[in-house]
Amino acid sequence: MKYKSQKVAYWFFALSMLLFVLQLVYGFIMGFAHAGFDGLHEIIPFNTAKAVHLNLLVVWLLSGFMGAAYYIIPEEAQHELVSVKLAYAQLIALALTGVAAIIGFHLNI
Amino acid sequence: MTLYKGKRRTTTALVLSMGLFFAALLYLPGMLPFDSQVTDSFFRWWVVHLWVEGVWELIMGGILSFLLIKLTGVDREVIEKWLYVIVGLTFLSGVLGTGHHYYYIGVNKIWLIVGGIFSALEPLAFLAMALFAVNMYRKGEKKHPNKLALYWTLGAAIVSFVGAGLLGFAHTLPQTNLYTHGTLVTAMHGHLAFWGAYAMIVLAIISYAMPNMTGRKLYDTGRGRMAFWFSNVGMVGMTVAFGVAGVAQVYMERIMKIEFMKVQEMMEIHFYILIICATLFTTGILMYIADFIKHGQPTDEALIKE
Repeated sequence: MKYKSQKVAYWFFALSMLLFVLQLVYGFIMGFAHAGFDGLHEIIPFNTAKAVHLNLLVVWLLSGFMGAAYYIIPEEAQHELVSVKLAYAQLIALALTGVAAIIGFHLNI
Repeated sequence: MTLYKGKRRTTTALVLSMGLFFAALLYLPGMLPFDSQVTDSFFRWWVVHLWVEGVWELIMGGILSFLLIKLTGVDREVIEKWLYVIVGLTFLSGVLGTGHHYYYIGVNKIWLIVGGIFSALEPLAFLAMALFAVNMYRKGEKKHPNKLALYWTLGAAIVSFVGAGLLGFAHTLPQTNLYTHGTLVTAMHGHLAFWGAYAMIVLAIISYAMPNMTGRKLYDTGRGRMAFWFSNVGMVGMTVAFGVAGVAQVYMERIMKIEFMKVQEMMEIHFYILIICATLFTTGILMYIADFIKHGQPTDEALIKE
């Protein structure tokens, strides 16, 4: 690591890993539902699980991409990030959007 | 912003930033409200398709170039020349390739031809990435100690070609898609494509960045290697399970005209296999995350003084 601000990337990667695990959970729910064990049907129907599975995928990948960019750009541009605060604001905004979407899917809005 | 003030603007950085910028921009068409399901779908694919088969490929190409420059030590000029080729191929095929989502959904029939031709060209971009990565690896003289990052990088380039390129091609022609549209054949392609192209490239950059940020050099751990193989073998197994189930579904549902729910019941056995493979995959991912946690948090002590 050559620039202090590259550390921001860690938190994007951590969010990414967390959401990835959640995505796997929803994947299993659907796998079992397809195999004939749809015990959670009342709480998490298949269409909800599918939307959440896809949404989590997209958000963890985006979080990973953003983390990658915050790591790569300073090194390529040979300059500290202009605003680390903005990066954290983006991280929080992304996390909130992701969570809001998932809650929305569960409430069937 | 950092790019503007930076000392240099490299192709790698520009392609990556353009990818991210257009990804944000292309999120917008999905929010346009329409009364018609058809028009809604039409614009929905501007988000989904132009993301994964357009601008995300730029992001992937950018990350791939960065990693290959760092890991193989091949000259930036050589690597970035390839990057231009990849970007060119992506846009040439990817933009009009959107047509392959417009088969049989109620839009103009012209898309059958446009989508068929251009989406058949789409594997070229991924083929270029795979050839590019493997060639650079062969050419590379520098042996970077971070073996795990190299595994994931080459893995991403190769599996994305198989998953996105070949398996995508398997059902992209209108003649085939007439039968496979909306079946598990799509799930088969989707799983290996996303895993190879995007999940693995993210895991690659994390594997590369973590030791540098935290100063703990877990470059080549047994667990890290097992994570790579478990998750890949698991995912290939899942893809095969989906593929077999998908072909069976197409045959029973669309050719023998057995009723939808009946077919779903008959396919249950395939999902036992799927769950077994998914368990293997998950084990791999949990090992990867164990390594991630072991690295700890980044510190300033890991800074390299120049």
